Amino acid sequence: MTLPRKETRFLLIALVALLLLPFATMLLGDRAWLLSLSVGSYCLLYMINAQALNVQVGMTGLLNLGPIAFVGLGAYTGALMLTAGDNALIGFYAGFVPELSGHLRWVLFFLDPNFLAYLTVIPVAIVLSMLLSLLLGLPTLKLSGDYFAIVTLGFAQIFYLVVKNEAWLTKGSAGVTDVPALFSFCTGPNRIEFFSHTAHYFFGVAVLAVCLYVVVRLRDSYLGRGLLAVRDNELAAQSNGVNVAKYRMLSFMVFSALAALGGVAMLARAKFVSPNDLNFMESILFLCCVVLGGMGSVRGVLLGGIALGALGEVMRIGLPVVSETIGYEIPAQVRYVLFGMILILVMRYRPNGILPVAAEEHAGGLEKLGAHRDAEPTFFKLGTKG
Amino acid sequence: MGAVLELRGLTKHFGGVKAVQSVDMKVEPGSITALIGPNGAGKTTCFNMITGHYVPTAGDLIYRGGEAEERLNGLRADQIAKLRIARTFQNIRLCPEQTVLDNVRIGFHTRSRSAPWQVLLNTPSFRAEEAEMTASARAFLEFVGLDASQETGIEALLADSLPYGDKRLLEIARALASNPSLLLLDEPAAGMNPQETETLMDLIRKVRDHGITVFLIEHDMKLVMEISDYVVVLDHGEKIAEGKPAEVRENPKVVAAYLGQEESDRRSERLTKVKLEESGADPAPETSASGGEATEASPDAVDGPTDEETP
Ligand SMILES: Nc1ncnc2c1ncn2[C@@H]1O[C@H](COP(=O)(O)OP(=O)(O)OP(=O)(O)O)[C@@H](O)[C@H]1O
Ligand SMILES: [Mg+2]
Repeated sequence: MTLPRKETRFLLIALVALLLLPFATMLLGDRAWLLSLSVGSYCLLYMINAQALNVQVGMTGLLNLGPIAFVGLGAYTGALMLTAGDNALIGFYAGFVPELSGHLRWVLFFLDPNFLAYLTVIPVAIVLSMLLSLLLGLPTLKLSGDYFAIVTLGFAQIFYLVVKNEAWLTKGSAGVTDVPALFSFCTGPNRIEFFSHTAHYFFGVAVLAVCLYVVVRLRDSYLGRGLLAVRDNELAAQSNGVNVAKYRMLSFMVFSALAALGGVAMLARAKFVSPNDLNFMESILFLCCVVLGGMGSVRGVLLGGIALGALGEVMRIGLPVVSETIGYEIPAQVRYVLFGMILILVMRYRPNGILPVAAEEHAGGLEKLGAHRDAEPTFFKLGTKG
Repeated sequence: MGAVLELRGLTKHFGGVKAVQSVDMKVEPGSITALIGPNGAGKTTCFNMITGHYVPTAGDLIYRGGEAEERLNGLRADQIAKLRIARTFQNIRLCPEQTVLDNVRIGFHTRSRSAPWQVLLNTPSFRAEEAEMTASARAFLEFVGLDASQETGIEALLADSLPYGDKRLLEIARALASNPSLLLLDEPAAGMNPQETETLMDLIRKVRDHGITVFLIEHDMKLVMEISDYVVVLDHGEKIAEGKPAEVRENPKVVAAYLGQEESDRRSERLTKVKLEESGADPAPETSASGGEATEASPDAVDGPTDEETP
């Protein structure tokens, strides 16, 4: 199997390139550096969430129209836990972690109270998100896929409304503000300039690496093959011992875990979360990344995330500039129109995505068939159990 | 030990359609047993009940291929697969977008022993299992007559790109990969040329010689008569005859059932021609023609579970 190895190389190169990006753009001056960080970290969120969605939609063929709810759950869990009781969680860690000074602060970054608090928040967010997917999935995953899509769509709307209206818990439409930064040296008097701008970015790269690892490991196992079989031929999957409902649930839970992780990464970037972040369009854009990249293709979805993430952020920053120069206010929604056009073009010319799984080395070779019928079997293990 | 599989009064009704009506039969261990009958006789419906895709309206399914005697009624398809019953489908059901090798590896699903955490941590035991599975999958490809060598082989091709006959063989390889004790083949020779059918017959015998009981549905009478140890004939959902191939061939009821098929099913021509003069039975073209049409019109309904059946 040359396929996975080539893919591993691709993914490693991509991760290293992402790690080096801030150092490279630093040479271009401050403005370019900050812009690259802003666009880069935004892309990372898309890459993470699209990869999470890839497990459910791309690999299992189970359409989820409300992924943003699970990302939002991760972000809100983090925000509320971190800010609760006047940042009590961070205070708790600060209580018994020695205060470091100088370069030790970032060399021993894992001892930073803020970071420890974030690390505490992550498993809670993941568990909550998985519990929610379990609750939502149990009654609905036995229905046909279309019903499930509708249920997730409805759920995301309900989640949005609850977050917006239950202000006693979620701070309502104002959102949770002043969420502590990822490291104590990112803000305040002890601030280290470089990390205050890059910490969340590197955190995003780390989260993406975890996502990619989980997704690739899962896919190259009997679990992933079960998911793919459910997607490609449910009947064949069942007859080979795959419990379809269970595997759909598996994909939903893996998605929800990774999406919650993506939510925490989103929080680390913005240090703020509000109902506006739960926009339905975000769900659609994550889906677009998966479809554009190629359903189930880890590399393709990674590229899809980069493409849509970059486009979105560049337009968000660029549109006002353009509006100003031409003296005409271009509405921000124009970017959705552009996304739609790109999607149509890609679907027209590459209906299986930018980098479909099947496109790799399977072209041609049909002519090789036929002559090998009489080959004597050399090795078989029929009838031996296990 | 008794029969590997026993059908007791097995019945399936689809609304008013009596697809299978109170069928009793046995599949003896180590045998090749054939289930034959005209189009729409209820053969595939029987298979679908055995493998848990349809819930029987009445009757019992007793299976003795595992450790203990099991009643298959009420089990899900995946639970039945775990009891080491494997099958192929009349309408080939591969994962078309996946490679040939991956299609075989799906067959190993019930035999994977690694826990999810071992998968995540990529432990040595998990890797060893994967490597063994891959090697074994290639061996199964070769066993069914598909070349699996890495250079010239077809393992990296998409299953969809295989010619029809090879798809059938691939489905058999996948079924064998689950290490079945009972293998159900639904029209394995359909769409094969005579030469391919010849090779298939050797393959089925070879499978049987490895101790796997084979239960097959087939329209190709040459194949059925040559390789089966026992033949059961269905017509309009009811069992009309059973016995050794030679006995069944002589049975006037069978001849009559197949005579009615003549127009719609050219595959049974050989049989009917031989028996045409001696029997002088009354052909009943209208019934069989309608059965044949239903099958042609909705292959999915015949081969797949309907909404009412989804567990
Ligand atoms: N899911 C279903 N819903 C309704 N009717 C069905 C369904 N499946 C099968 N039938 C009907 O049951 C009868 C038996 O069908 P079955 O597929 O078992 O025949 P068969 O013997 O396999 O025929 P063939 O040789 O054409 O494959 C047919 O009349 C068919 O239309
Ligand atoms: Mg049939």
